[in-house]
Parts: sequence; structure tokens; C-alpha cells
Amino acid sequence: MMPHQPFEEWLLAVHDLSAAEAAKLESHLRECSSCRALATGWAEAERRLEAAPLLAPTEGFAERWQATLVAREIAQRRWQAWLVFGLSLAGALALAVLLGWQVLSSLLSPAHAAVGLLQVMVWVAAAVAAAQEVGLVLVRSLAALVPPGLWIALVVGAAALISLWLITMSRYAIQGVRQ
Amino acid sequence: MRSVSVPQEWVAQARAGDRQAFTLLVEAYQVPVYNLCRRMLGNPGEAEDAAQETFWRAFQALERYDPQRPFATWLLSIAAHYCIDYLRRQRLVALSLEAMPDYHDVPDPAPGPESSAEAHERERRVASMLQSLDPLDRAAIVMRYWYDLSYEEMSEALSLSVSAVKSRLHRARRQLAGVWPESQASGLARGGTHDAAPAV
Repeated sequence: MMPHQPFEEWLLAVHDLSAAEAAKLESHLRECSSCRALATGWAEAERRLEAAPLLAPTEGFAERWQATLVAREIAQRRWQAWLVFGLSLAGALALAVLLGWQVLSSLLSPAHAAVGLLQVMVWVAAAVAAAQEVGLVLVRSLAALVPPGLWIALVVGAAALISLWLITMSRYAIQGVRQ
Repeated sequence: MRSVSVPQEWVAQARAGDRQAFTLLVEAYQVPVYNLCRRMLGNPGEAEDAAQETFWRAFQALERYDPQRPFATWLLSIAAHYCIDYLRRQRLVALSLEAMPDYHDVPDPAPGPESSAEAHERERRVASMLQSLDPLDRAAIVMRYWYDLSYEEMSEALSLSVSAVKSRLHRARRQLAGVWPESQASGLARGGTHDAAPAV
């Protein structure tokens, strides 16, 4: 059986053949009908591909694109709104279930629930008292360390920042109303 | 190709959020993008949808576009990937010749019943040749013969290595060389000749 390689490779080569390769290929093609058929088939197929024009869409493609863009953006916004609504609803439902469970358990065992509530209240009160104590200690030690001039400067600076923030916010608010 | 060049400012303006600039890009690239989708999918309706989808995806991904890359290659890459995925989903690789659409929008320099029928027949044969290929091989052939992309550009657009592109092109050529005589025989069986249009 006649070997078809590397001739088949060369026939469909993605690079140009050297003069020696081209001569060998030509000589092989004279003897091998299978490679000759491949060469004819590919030459014809390539000719057809190279002659085929660019196909254009029907008139008004860009206008259809603009309409599609508007429709898709509306759909996207709607989907985002539904997503936010869905997440909020899921959150609310989760909260309702949690609350419902608490209420149900307190209804089923009111004494147990009252003791639990009392424990929480005691814990919160103790935490607030401890925080107050720590805060007072800190303020007293800072007051002793920081000179009075620096205190005055800090208070004035904070007041200036607050005023600036208030002015900015009111300006933006007025601008927003005007727009 | 067959190439399109647009002012670089349009791309920059579109990236900055200018919709009008993007519409100009749509107008400029509608033919190359549509042609790729049409050659890949073979059907005008599906090609229109695919081209619209390509521009939508490009519009959404503009921030991720690297201005160092040619815009046309980037767009063609989006279109090719969309069509390949679509074909894989739809399993339309072997499209029946009987189901081939009418090529009513074939550009014809000298319109007339005979030349139009001839162009129709030529397009039908090219389309049937392309439909015989694997989607990725088809994309490589379309990019090579309609857009003259280099192997590097094709490898980037198709997310393949350069050697994979060459090997796919080789395989596609081998297949097309075998398909051509069949397509010719099918044309003859339908009442046509190799170069003449079938009797209308």
C-alpha cells in the first residue's frame, strides 16, 4: 500500500511548502489517486470558502439592538427588584418563624419563659453597669493626663466638624429638592 | 477580512458608559458578528438572536475588555463562544439539508433570478459543508476564511493553544476535502450541476 504521509499533511498544510516538498508532493499526486482526490476536494472546498461573502443581517439591526437593550435593562431591573423583595420576604419570614417559636414556647411554658427573660434583663443590666464603670475610670484618668487647653481644642474641633457636616447635608438636601 | 476599523474613541466612550458610542460599534460590527453567527448556526433567525446576544454580552462585559486587544477579535470571541455553547446545547451539528433555511439575504452584486438562484445554491453548499464540522472546528474555519485571523488571534478568541488551533484547522480541512464531493453529489441529485443553479 502506498504511504500517504507526509503528503496528506502537506496537502492540508497550514504553512507554505518548500520547493523540494512541493516537487515531492507533485510527483506523489501523479501516482496516488487517493491523495489526488483529497487535493481536488480540498482545493474546491477552499475555493468555495474563499469566494463566500460576508452575510449581512436584515435592515434595522442596530435599531433592534437598541430596543432589545431597553427591554433587557427593564427585565434586569425588574429581576433585581424581585430579588430584593424575595430576600426581604425570606428574612421577614425567618424572623417571624423565630419570633413565633419564642412566643409559642412562652405560651406553652410561661414560667420558664419569664425566668429566661429575667435572666436576660439581669445580664444586660450588669453589662451596662460594668461598661459605665469602665467608662468613668477611663474619663477620670484621661482628664488627669490631658491638659485643659487640649480639651478645649478637641471640643471646638468636634463642634466645627459637626457644623460643616450639617451645612453640607442641608445644601445637598436643598439641591436634591430643587432637582 | 473583510475587516472593519472604527475610531478607538468609540470604544473608549462606550467603556465610559456612552450608549450612543456603543450603538455606533453595533452598527460598525453588525455584519462581521452576524456573519460569524450565521456561518456557525446556519439559520438566519438564530443568527440574528445570537448576534444580538453577542452585543448584549459585550455591552455588559465592557469593563472587562482589555483595550490592548483588538475590539473586533474580542467581539468575535464572544460570538464564537456563544454559538459553540448554543450548538452543544441544541445538538444541531448534523442539520438536515431539507431544513436548510432560505438564503434571502445573500448579497448579490447583480441581482436577477438566475444569479440569485446560483448564489442561493452556492450558499447552501457552503453552509452544508460547514454544518458537517464540529462546532469548534467550524469556528476555526470561519475565523480563518472570513476574518483572516492569525493563529495567535484565533487561539485567543477560541481559548485554545496555537497548536490546538492548527490541529483543528487541519482536521477541518481534511473533513471538508472529503465532504465536498458528497455535497456536489447531493447538489446533482437535487437537480443541479456543479456550478450552475438548479432548475427553478
